[in-house]
Amino acid sequence: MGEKYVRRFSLWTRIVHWVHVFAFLGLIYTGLSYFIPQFGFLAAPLGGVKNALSIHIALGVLFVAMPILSLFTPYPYKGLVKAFTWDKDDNKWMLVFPKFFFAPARYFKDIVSIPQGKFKAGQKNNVWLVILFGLTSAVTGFALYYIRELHSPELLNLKFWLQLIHSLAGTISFSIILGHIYLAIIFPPFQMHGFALWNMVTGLQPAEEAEQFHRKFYEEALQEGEVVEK
Amino acid sequence: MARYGMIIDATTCLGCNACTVACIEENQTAYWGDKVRTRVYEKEVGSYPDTDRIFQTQICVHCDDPPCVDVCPTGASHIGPGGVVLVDYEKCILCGACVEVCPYDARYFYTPQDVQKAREEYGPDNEHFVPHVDKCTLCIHRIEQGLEPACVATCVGESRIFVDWDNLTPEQEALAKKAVPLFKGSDYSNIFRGNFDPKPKIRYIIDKENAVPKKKVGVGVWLWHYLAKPLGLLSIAGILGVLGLNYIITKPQVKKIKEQLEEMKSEEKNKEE
Repeated sequence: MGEKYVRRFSLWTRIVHWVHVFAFLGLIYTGLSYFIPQFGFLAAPLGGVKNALSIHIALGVLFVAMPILSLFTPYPYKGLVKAFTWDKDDNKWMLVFPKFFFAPARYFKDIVSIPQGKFKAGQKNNVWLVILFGLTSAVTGFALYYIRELHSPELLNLKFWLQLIHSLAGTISFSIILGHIYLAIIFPPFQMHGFALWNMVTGLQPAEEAEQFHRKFYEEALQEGEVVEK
Repeated sequence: MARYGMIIDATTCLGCNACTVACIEENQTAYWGDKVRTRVYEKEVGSYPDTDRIFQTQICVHCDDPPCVDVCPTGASHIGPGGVVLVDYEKCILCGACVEVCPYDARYFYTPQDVQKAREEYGPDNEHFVPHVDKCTLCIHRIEQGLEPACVATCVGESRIFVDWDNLTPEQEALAKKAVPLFKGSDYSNIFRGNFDPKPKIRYIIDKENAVPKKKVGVGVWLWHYLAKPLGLLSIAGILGVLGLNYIITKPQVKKIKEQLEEMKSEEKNKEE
């Protein structure tokens, strides 16, 4: 008998996710290379800061295009609805998680006793925060692009207010994503059933992990026959 | 150590604009679109019958502590030999922070259209081959050959006097006593540094009003430079620190969690039985 897995992420979801990861990390890499002087060395492999800026602009287009394209892929709204549905269990989970984060052995039973859906409350927060700060970065980024092309000294004051918002939104987004990456590939209690990252690669989640951390989702999957053996 | 600069005697400036023309000729810069490295401002002062017209040249004053170098995010604006403030064209991304913070309005955008025009006017080998923010270089290439800057060499009224502030001649010392920075510390002030003195190396002898208009610098650029940059660095370092600490704390706890899991499984089995 093989291991049991739950079908968790569709092929489309995974493609959209990984292209977005590529665009986002590229944006952070190139953005840092000409935003904070201490990170200027990052521009050298790209052939200098001028290239870094051009790549940043191209990746910005990809970053915005991917979520828009994803709206035309099968079942995009189903996932969004799940990510934006909040219940009392999510409130409880959010109260326990900070304690679990630093003392997982002590609060393990508490956290797994709170049933969660396809997305944990923390993941739901990650979704809306990414949308909020991603949109802020995108809107200010496009405005900055057009203002830059005008090369108008009169618009510089407006440009730097936008630049300020763009930089802060990028910094906050990166901070959130650092947390997301940590939880997905490093945080030891979430790697007990193998790298959580593999769930987004294969689309399958170990059934045991789903049962512990996403019980409501696991029970639904059982009923819908989405639990497979491999 | 040399500290190159100028004393500009506004009382003898004729307003002939020879300096502007010499600069364009020497440095193959734009003469179109009102984009020049140095220009002459004129102003009528007084009231009839006691009136006068004053001429004053505007140029980068090559500060010892230049705000433009401070805010440059890529290191393109830098202090070169002899304390001359220069721009590395390859590193400049035309963000405009330096253009915004200079109270002398001594910098301008050399856009892709300007590069194209320069190619047509001066040939493909001219130094302005990429878009950048352009400014006076104090003709450092001439200074290194033992020559004076082109604007100084051509000045009809001998109003521009090229100096090395660390090696003034006795005549220059006498002039230096009368020369003052065009703008005061408060003209450079910002909410983070207050009224700091950027120590300009181009100083003016003026006996009337200042003809060079001062530009108002917006607050956004200061917030972006002094707040967003350190905040970005601190938050990334802080989060990496917290996550690293979390790993050290939580890694040894996995064994205990696995034991609890086993307990939970056996409890379930017992219930089923």
